[in-house]
Formats: sequence, C-alpha cells, structure tokens
Amino acid sequence: MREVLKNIIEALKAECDYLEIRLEENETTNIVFIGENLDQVSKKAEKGGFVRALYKGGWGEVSFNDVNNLEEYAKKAIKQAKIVGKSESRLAAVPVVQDQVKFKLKSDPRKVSFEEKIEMLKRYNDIVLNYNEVIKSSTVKYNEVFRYLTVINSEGTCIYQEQMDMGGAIVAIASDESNRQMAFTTFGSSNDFSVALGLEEEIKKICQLAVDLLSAPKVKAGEYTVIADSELAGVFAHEAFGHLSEADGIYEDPKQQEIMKLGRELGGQVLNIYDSGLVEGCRGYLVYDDEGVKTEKTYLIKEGKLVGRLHSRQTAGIMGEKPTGNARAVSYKFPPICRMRCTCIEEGTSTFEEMLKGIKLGILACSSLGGETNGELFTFSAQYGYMIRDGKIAELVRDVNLSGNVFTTLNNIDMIGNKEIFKDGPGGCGKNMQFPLPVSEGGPYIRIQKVVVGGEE
Amino acid sequence: MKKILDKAVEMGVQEGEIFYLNNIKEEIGFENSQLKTVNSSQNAGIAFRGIKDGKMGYVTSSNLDNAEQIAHDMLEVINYSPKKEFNFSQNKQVEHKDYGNDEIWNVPMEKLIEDGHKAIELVKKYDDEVLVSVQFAKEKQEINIVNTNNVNLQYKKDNFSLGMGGSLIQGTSFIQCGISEKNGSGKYDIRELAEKTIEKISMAKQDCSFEAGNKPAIFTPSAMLEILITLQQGISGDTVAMGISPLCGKIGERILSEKITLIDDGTMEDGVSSMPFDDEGVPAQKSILVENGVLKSYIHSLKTAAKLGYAPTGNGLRTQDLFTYKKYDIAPKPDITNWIMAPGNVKYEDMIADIKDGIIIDNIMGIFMNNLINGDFAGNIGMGYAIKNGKIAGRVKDAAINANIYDVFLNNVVALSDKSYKCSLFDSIGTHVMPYVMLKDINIAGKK
Repeated sequence: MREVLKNIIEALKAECDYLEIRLEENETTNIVFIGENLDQVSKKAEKGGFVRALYKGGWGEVSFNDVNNLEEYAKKAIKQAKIVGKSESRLAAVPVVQDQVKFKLKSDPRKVSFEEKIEMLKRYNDIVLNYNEVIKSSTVKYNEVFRYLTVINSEGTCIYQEQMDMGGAIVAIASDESNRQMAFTTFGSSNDFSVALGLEEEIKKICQLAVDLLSAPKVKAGEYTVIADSELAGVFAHEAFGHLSEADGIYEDPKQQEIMKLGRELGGQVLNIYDSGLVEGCRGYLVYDDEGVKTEKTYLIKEGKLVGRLHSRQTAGIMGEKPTGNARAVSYKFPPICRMRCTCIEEGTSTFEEMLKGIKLGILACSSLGGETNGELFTFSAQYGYMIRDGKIAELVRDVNLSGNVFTTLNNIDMIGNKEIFKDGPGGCGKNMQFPLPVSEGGPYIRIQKVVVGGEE
Repeated sequence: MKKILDKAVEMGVQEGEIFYLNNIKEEIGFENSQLKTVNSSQNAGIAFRGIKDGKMGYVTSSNLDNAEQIAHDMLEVINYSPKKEFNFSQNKQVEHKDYGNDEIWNVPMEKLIEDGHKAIELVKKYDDEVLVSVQFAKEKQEINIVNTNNVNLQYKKDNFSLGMGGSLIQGTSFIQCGISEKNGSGKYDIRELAEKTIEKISMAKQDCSFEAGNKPAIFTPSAMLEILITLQQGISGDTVAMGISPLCGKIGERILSEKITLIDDGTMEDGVSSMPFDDEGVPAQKSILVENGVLKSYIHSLKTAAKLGYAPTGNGLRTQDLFTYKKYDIAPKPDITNWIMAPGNVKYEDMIADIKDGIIIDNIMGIFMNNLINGDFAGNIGMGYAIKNGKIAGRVKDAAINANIYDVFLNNVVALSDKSYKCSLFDSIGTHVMPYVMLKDINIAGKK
C-alpha cells in the first residue's frame, strides 16, 4: 500500500505545491451501562483516507472510504486546489521523516477479555446503584480505540503510527422530588489499561458527592476569589487560553496578531502555560502530528509573557514562526487543523494552605463539567464547590459557573500550586465539527482573584 | 446490505437490522475573507444490530465488502451483549415523497465562488476590518434499512447549506456573529444573508453598561432553541426510562407557560430533518410535545417506546448528542427532528418598546456544561443587548445567567412574538422555528 501511495504522489506532485495522503484503519470497542442495564456492547471497524493538495495557497481536499480509487481522488484534490489557489503556498519547512511508531503499551487493553472488562464495569456500576437509596441511576462508559495511521507527502515524508486511546466515566445520578444531581469520576490513557482498575474508593467518593449535592445550596452569584483545583485549572488553560493560542485564529487576523503579540505580558511572573505532545500516557500524547511534524513541549506563556502558539505548517509558514506539531485531524474524514495536545499550567511554588490564608470569602471550585470560549470570553463549570470563609473550607455548593474575560483573568492569577496533576477522561475537544479529539489537561491548584461566578441572587 | 444480513444469519445470528448511510458532500470554504478550500467527501458505513439467544449486539463498519468479518464481530460481541428489549420495525412500506433534488448538484461551483466573493465584498464595504467566512455545502444522504422482518426501505435526500460569519476585534471586544441557512432547494439570497450578518455585527459593536439584577428579558429564537436543549433531554424516552427526567409521570400536567406549544415534525414540508421514516424504519410523524404548556408526549426510539409502553414516535435517530447530524456509527436514540414553537401575538418591536430596563439574550455560552436533564441552563451571555427606555442601547458584556426552564418559563412568560423564525443550533440539521419569548423577569448576574 505504501508503495502505491508513493507512486501516486510521485506521478502527480509536479502538478501542485504540496500533496499529502493520509490513510487510517481503526477499531473501537465500546461498553455502556445505563442504570442496572448493560445498554450497549459494540465494536466498530473503519478504513479510509484523506488527500490534500496545496496549489498557490489554495487547498483541495478529498476524503473517502474506497482506497482503491486513490489516484482518482488525488487528481480531484489537485483539480480542486487549482480552482482555489490564487496566491502563494507557504508551509513552514520541516525535516523529511521516514519513521514507524509502534504501540508502547504498559498494559494492553486487547489482552483483557470482553468478559473481564464487562465484569469490572458491572462491579463499578453495582457500587453506584447500591450506595444509597437516593441514587436512582448511573452511567458507566468505557471506550477504547486502536488507530493505524499512515501519512505520506510529496516531500518524501512517510510515517506510520499506531495509537491507542482509552477513556471512561462512572456517573452517579441522585434525585429526589425536586432535584437531580450528578457526580462522576473519569479515567483515560494512551498506553495503560490499568488506569481503569481499582476505582472503587474513588467511586464511593463521587456517590457521596452526588448525595450531598442534592441538598447543597446553589452558590450565590457574585465576584469571588476562587481556588480552582487541578482539573479545573487544566480546563481553564485549555478553554481560556489554549483555543486562543491555536494559530489558525491568528495567522490572517491582524488585530488578533496585535492582541497575541509575542512578548506581551499576560500574567504575573508565576504564570507558565504549555501544550505538549510528549507526556506519555496522556490521551493527548502524540509523537508526530497529522502532517508528519514531530511534536514538542510548546510554551505558550513563560513567566507571564506570551512566548508561543500552536501551529500547523501553514500557520507557521505564513507567520514566519517555528512549527510546533499541532496539526491534528480527529479522523481520516477531516483535514488537520490547529488543535491542542496536553495543555497544562506549570507548577509554581505555593501550598494550598498559603492560598487559603487571607481569603475572607471565596470558593474552592472543583473538577469540571466542561467549558466554552468565544474569543475573549470564556466560561467553565465546576462539578462542585466549597465556600471558603475566613481562610477555612466551609459548605458544599453547586452550580458553580465561572466566566470572564481571558486577559483580565490571567492577570488575576496570583498564586500557583506546587504540584502538577494531569487528568484524563472520556470524550474530547470539539472544533469545526471535529469532535471528539483526544486531548489532556493538567495543572496545579491555582488562585484567581475577582472571578464572576453565576449563581443564585 | 441484504448480503451482509444474510451472511450473518447464515453464521448464526437469529434476527438483525442493518442501517446503511452513504454521505456525499461537496464544500467550498472562504476564511478570513479569502477562498481557502474546496472539499469533497464520500463516506459510507453500516450499523448492524443483531439478536441471538435473546441478546442484542451492535457492530458498525465502513468495510462493506467484508460481510464475514462483520458477522464474526457480531457473534463475538453478542455473547456479552445486553438483553433484547424491543423488536425491529415491521413497516415494510412507507409512502413517501421524493426527498432528493438534483437541482442542488446542478448549482455550478463558479456561481457559489462568485457569490462568496460578493458576500465578502458587501460586508467589507460596511466595515473593511471584518474578517468574513463563508461556507457552501451540498450534501447527499443515501439511507437503506433492511431487517429480518423483510423490511427493505430506502431513500435519498439532498441538502444545501450556506453559512456566513463575521469576526471583528474592537478594543477588547471580540465580536463573532454568524448566520446559517439549510434547505432542500438549493436556493438562497446572498445579499439578504450578507445584510443579516452586517446587522448582527453592527448591533454588537456598541458596548453598553448593564447592572446585574432581576430584569425583564427577551430571548431571541436562537437563544430559545438553545435553552430547549434542556427540554430535549427531559422529554427523551431515554431519561424517562432511566427515571431521571423531571418530566417522568408528568404527561397531562402543565410544565411550561400556557403560551407555549411545541411540535416535533419529521414530516414538515421542506424540513431539513424531514424524512420518510426514522433511522429504525419507523414512519416519521408530527408529534405535539407541549400544548398550551401541557406535556403531551415524550419522544421515543423503538427501545424506549417498548420499555415505557408507548407507541414509537419516529424519533429513533442516529445523531450525535447536541450536534444532530446523522452518523452511521451512533446507536439510535430519541432525538428531535424539526422543532416548531407556535408564535404568539405581540410584535417583537412592541416587546422592546415596553421595557424600561432589560435585556435581549441571543446566545448563552457554555450551556452544555450544565445539569441539562434537570432543566438547568446557565452560562455567560455571549451575545446580549441592553434595552433602556424602550430602545436597544448596545451590547452587554460580562453578564451571566443561571436558571431552570421549568421554573422561569412556567408562570413568568409575558408574550411570544407574532412571527417565528428559522434558527439553527450549532451544526444541527433540523429546521427549527422559534418566536421571540419575553419573560417578566429573570436574574442576570454580573459586575455591580
């Protein structure tokens, strides 16, 4: 197959500035329990590819299932690129690579039988359903994907990669006559099935949380000093800053380039944020991106200053910056675009006790239900929170939704904890209909002044 | 498809259903005011639900020439699969109109490219600094459902869609507005779309101060649709069957304002989500979900209908949560087709004129991160406009909202606009029609 691809590219490459073919095979196993019932056990197998041609700055793209018609698709992609291309192709130069990346699994999900997996998930499910009579239902999800990827381009690069992606969640749903609350725990990995093992204690904790949330008050709306736990800090880094750093939102926007000018001071000296493909075991671990560019640890903010962004070869080429290996596609059905990998706030030096001290009225916001961003505005929801009163952790509160202006908030981070933790779960990031892309987030506890928290008046 | 099913039966599967979806798409994309990409795609796959010894397994694949592998995977999975809970559809014949339209594919690419440039020109004439994006897409879906009840149904559907967006940075404000249009005719008015985009951008340009508190609010059709995601979760046979929907046992009870009547219509004329039958072969229908505020019906897949003892409603769809475009590898679950809320009798302009100090809410950012099943919707008001002394005074920033649909839309609805409008939800493929909805008051949080 590789020979066929190479021959097609060799034959056609003179007709355009850049030609790239990606092929993918994948296998997925999915197990879902809903309430006391096993709801779904499924397997999926796919095969397909994506051709991209670049001509005078315009892209022609063809995505397909039938790998037997590759030459026709490549010609179509070139024809389409010629309709579009009217300027200049600029892709940042990268080394030509010939490489194979095989699985490096600490514990291989394929060696665990269907029976064992279902039994384990059923045990988890039973813990939830038997925990307390107010826990009315549950969801237990498990997903594993094995991908076999090939990328070949007209520069001579030829890379084969094997990737494993695993994720799951256990959700406890408590309800009484007037209210339903959920709490959950998640797991995920790119190399180790055993992250799914031994979750019994964790599950009991979230069951208790679901029960407690039923009677917890909604947080009162207002402006607060917030301590965000690791998970929430990671989501903040991803939503509030990660997306803003994706260069495809910057490279052709002169105003964005002003706002995101390298060297601009965005936070205090304590603040360092990076996005890395090198964190082994994380779902966001990536050796080569989908353009065949080797990934790295890319600092976005260093000591409070903007120092980097997340590039594809095109955005790097047009901006005259170094490529970073952030061009990713969620599957062979899509083109690679600027995406994140493992986005993290780097650990600082403060202890949790130091952060608590001096907070007369604040909130400890924990875990995350997700977030969203709209340029300067971001919003994210904590799974739950605790009031902080006079430097002490007080009552549990729910509906802790934090939002604000990215730049103001970054500047308001005054303390960064001394332990970085990565958290993986199921699902992934969504952008331009490419969902769910496996990404990871992480960080230490962080303290942010003056955060607007929506809640009850 | 029949071959794959027959092979599986030969190898030991007792009952089965195969859903085949072939998706062909051509797209043209302009980004940052320039023509950027032309994209073609063709992707096909099947979803196979098989039954053996009372258990139902689920296998999906795009490798359609390997019937033996598919049957083999099914037999492996079926051993561990859940109990069968429903029967496959028996509808062997469904009368239906032609959902195909070759006209869409005849619209020449040159015309679309020309119109894309025209739209960009119009917006830049209004403000040269706006970065404009335009997308045109032609899409064909070929669907075939076969099952061991001798059902063999198929249809083709053609859709045309067009979207425009403008983004602009003004001081510290990021303005991002867009509109989209989806239809089965391939017809569009590029000038009208450009004008709507310009109008949205101009409204967003003027920032305005806004004090937090309990204020009268008008939700735009788009915002109303967003909030109804909570109702979609509660009205789904899935959450009802799990016992976690707040609407459990509430059929016949008033759950929203008497002014609200909401219909799910899979048969709607020119509805983008109209279809002859749902993704399980159940004929599509028009269902009254809420009538004058009273809950009349849930939406069902074959499974939830069987579990709860209702007739199926033709809402068994293979759509992605909250994005509602069909994918062959998503198992059927209850989802909406085309949603229509009946308009009321007050002019939108009169609603605004009536408000001394209030807000128009057009978009809530982060709405998915809530306890949606509970009816909670909350988030930052991504796009909102202050109303002062009966006039729109400018864009509101840093305001947030946190409420529950079954609370604020129960007795607090003042009026619905006399006209309703097509609106879209992210990449939702449905034709959704909503009016403006005015609330007496709702708590808006923010900087004081």
